[in-house]
Amino acid sequence: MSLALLLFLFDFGKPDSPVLPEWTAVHPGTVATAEAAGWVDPPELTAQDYHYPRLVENASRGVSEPPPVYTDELTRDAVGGTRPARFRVPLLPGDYNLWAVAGSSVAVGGALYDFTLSVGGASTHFQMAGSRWFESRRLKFHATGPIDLLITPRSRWILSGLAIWEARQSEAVEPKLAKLEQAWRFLPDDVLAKWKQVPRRDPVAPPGFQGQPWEPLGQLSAADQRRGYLVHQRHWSENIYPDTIPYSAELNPTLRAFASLGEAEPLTFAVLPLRPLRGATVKVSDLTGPGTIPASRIDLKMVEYAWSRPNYSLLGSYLRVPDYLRPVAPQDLPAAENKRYWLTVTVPEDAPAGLYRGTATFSAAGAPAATVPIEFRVLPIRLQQNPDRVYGIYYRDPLDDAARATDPAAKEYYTQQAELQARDMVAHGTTPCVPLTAYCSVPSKPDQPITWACDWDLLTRKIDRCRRYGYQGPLVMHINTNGLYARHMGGKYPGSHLRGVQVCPPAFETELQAMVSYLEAGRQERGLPEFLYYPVDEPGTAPEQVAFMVQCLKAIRAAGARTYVTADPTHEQFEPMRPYINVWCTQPFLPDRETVAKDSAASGVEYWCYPNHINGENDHTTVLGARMTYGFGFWRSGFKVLIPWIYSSTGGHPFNNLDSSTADFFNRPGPDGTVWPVPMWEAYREGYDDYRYVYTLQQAIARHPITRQPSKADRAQSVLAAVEQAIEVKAKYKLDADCWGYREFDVYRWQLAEQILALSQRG
Amino acid sequence: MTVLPAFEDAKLWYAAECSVSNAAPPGQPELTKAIHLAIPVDHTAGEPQYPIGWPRGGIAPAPAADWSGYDWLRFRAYCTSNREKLPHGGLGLILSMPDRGTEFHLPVPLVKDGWCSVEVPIERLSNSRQIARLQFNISESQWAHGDRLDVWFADLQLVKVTAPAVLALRSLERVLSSDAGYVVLELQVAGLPPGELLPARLVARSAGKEVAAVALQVRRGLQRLTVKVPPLPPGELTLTVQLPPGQDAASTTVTITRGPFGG
Repeated sequence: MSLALLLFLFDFGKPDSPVLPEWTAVHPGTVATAEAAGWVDPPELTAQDYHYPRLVENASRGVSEPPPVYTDELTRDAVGGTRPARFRVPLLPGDYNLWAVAGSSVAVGGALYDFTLSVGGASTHFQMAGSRWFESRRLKFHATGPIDLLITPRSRWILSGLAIWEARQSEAVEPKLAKLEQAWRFLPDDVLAKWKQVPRRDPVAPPGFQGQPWEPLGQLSAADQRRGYLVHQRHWSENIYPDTIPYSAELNPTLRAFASLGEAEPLTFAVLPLRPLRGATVKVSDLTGPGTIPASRIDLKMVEYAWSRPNYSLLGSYLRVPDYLRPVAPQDLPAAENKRYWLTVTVPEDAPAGLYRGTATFSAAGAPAATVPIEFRVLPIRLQQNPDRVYGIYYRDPLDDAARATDPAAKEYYTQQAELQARDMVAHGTTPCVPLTAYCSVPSKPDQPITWACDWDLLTRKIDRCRRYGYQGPLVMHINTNGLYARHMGGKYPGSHLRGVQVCPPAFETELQAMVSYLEAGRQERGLPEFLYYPVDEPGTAPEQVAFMVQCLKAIRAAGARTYVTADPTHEQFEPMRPYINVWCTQPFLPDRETVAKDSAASGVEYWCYPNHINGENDHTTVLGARMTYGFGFWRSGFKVLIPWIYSSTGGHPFNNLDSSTADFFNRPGPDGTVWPVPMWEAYREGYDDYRYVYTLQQAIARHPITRQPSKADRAQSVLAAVEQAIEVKAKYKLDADCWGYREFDVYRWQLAEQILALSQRG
Repeated sequence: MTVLPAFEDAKLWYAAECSVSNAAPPGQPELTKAIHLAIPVDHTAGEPQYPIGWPRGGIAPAPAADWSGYDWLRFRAYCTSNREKLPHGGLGLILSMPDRGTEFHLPVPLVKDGWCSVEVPIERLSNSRQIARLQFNISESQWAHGDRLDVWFADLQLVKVTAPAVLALRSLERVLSSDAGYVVLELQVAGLPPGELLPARLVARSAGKEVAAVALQVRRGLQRLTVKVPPLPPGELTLTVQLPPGQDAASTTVTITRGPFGG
């Protein structure tokens, strides 16, 4: 059935923009009349139109790749503004539904689309932080005649499409709208035809193991059948998929964990509905024992499944995986699909030690509630962090968006987002040891003189934020190597990984040294921490590329500064660079610990690691590998800093992992700049805590009085040594099969905690 | 153990861009029934896009064969070549089943002038009831013009264990808290008909003394079981799977430690 027979359909854009068939074009000049929809007293409105082809050229990589977002006649164009607006639609009296889609296909730096749509007493809110992010909303309202759709912006507003139809026609209309939404929430049909769903891998299965772990669940209990759902638990680091069948041993659990003072600890459980459930939600009680841990100290989130790619840069394959965590809210749950709830208890710094008890309660409309007991042991331990180890992370800084924003609401949003993310990093054991950029523009021709300049205000603001949240340097600093290269090489830029690069004339080195000298002078004048200069990311190993790197590194060192290189030091091709590198940052834990120690002692070189295999280079499920990398693996490696790429990576819609040339991964944007984490991010914190238990015990042993008799310290040392011995050292811990069993980590952690407690007791 | 006629009769094999015959490998004249695949690599023999064609040989039972009652396909392979070093994955095994996308692929780990042994668990085949083809082939990208590969296949057989047996057992966790509540075991069982469940018993022993015993059910093939256990005493624990009539079939050890919640 044609949509146009049932409803009002408006496609917003420029006067000459293509219009979706059967839809009516609306542009800034479309004014309302008695018979036709349009703007009422329109304020200054803008229109835009940009359509992406299905493949766009990436000159740096020399390939064609998918666009940032898939557009069509509806989403390629839009009308927007920054002041309130009113759009009138001549309706007859009746009950109506409204559907609105909003987003910008045009990239606008620092943009925030934050506005409310209201009609007939109903309203909805849009908030998109950035471009190429489309959202749709629905409203129900009653009209007594012509209606005015009110647009009230907090920042910018934008509209791509609007549909209004009689409520009784919804059954016919909704499928058509869902098809339109598919294009930005999933993939358009023509693109989807080239993708295929792939099975997920079993994380610990040996090669050739087929099918999921099997065990007949057996007869469900009468209570479970009456209730209409199962409650079960796996260790938080083990993924639960939509179709995971629980083992009978996992049913009706008691949630148990232990933690030290000030520590955050996860507890999870899952519900498997036997029939659809409406309005499912979870509440928690206080935890009571020697003291009270109030419910407000228990963060409640739920795991959302999403279509993901097997790896962030792969195209053509997708699978459904547990992806991000969002705050618990009532939700309808389909039958036979797991829903996992993620509780994080943060122990107060002054909580009395001992056993605490409480409950989590799951409820859904028309179904008996389930009470899940919680037992939580608080330990009288204050964990210490090894001061010689740093947890950093690559980062797309919202302060850049704040600087580009053109209205106060957007500036405030991005500034607040930066603060919230910094707090979130610290809460997860990561400090804002984040690579920054000191950008100096250079004229394009070598005979044009350079006046060095840098936005010191913005850079200083970023660095101040790093310091306020506990990181005092050194700071990894990108510089405009590419611009200098193009200046001396006829306007050509190096490709990705220095593809196509050639050795530059000596003037390039001279000017690079001058750039760094300028930045060093500015840094010292402002009292900023040391900069580690980062001329190129991930150079290739071809001789010309290595020779170019040597030029860059020599120039930086000649300016009296230290260098940072992201490259594998075990690759022989990089040997010419070695004398000029102060920090090797490499993906695997290689070279081995002994070589790292020897090399660092001999030359002062530092070994950092960017373990992308437990950040974006996976299918979002490498949770156990993340914990191992961040904790016992990091301890055993001898490396100094972990700095994976990246805190948050989004392209297109931040919750559609299949659009854009690369998938979204890691932390996602919640409303108002809040953070929606992922299980791997939680695993980073747990690994950080694992290492804190190790270091705290090491410190306790070191402080223990030396006696002639075998002492508690000797016992503790032997336990520590046994735990270290149990680590199967690997260069990369990614798949679950690379690590200990899920619960083994907690066994070793408890062993360390027991020894810490033993050493803290007198006698 | 079953040796199908086609496994030993080269006349029942097909070959393309190579030859197949019954012949003994060098130094093993007694193996007269070995299948000899002789592959001279000729980059001029094929089409422009596939210059050496696709040298291959195999058997295509018609109707498709039912191997579901077996546990493994086994064979040994001996090879010679004029290549100094064999390319990795130079020879592949493909087992085809009727449905699209259900082929099973395995690189044969050839040893130049030596024997290799291959064992394919039948449970790894998505449809072991309908084996339409067993084929060995090389990939043209790994062989140069003028290369030669000769492979002799011997002891090609389907094997089944006639009595239930646990061939491998391990705990997925090497250390556990005493109050863990369950253990996760991975075991490989043979000798059962497909789909049949066999009652078994998991016995936990500490210093030789039985401290816990629970009932479980096993099926044929590689499987993972989560078995509820009572609180366990700290120390080394031996977990043994017993099959009827109560015989120890396989054992593994885990270390039990005190946990934070008692025990």
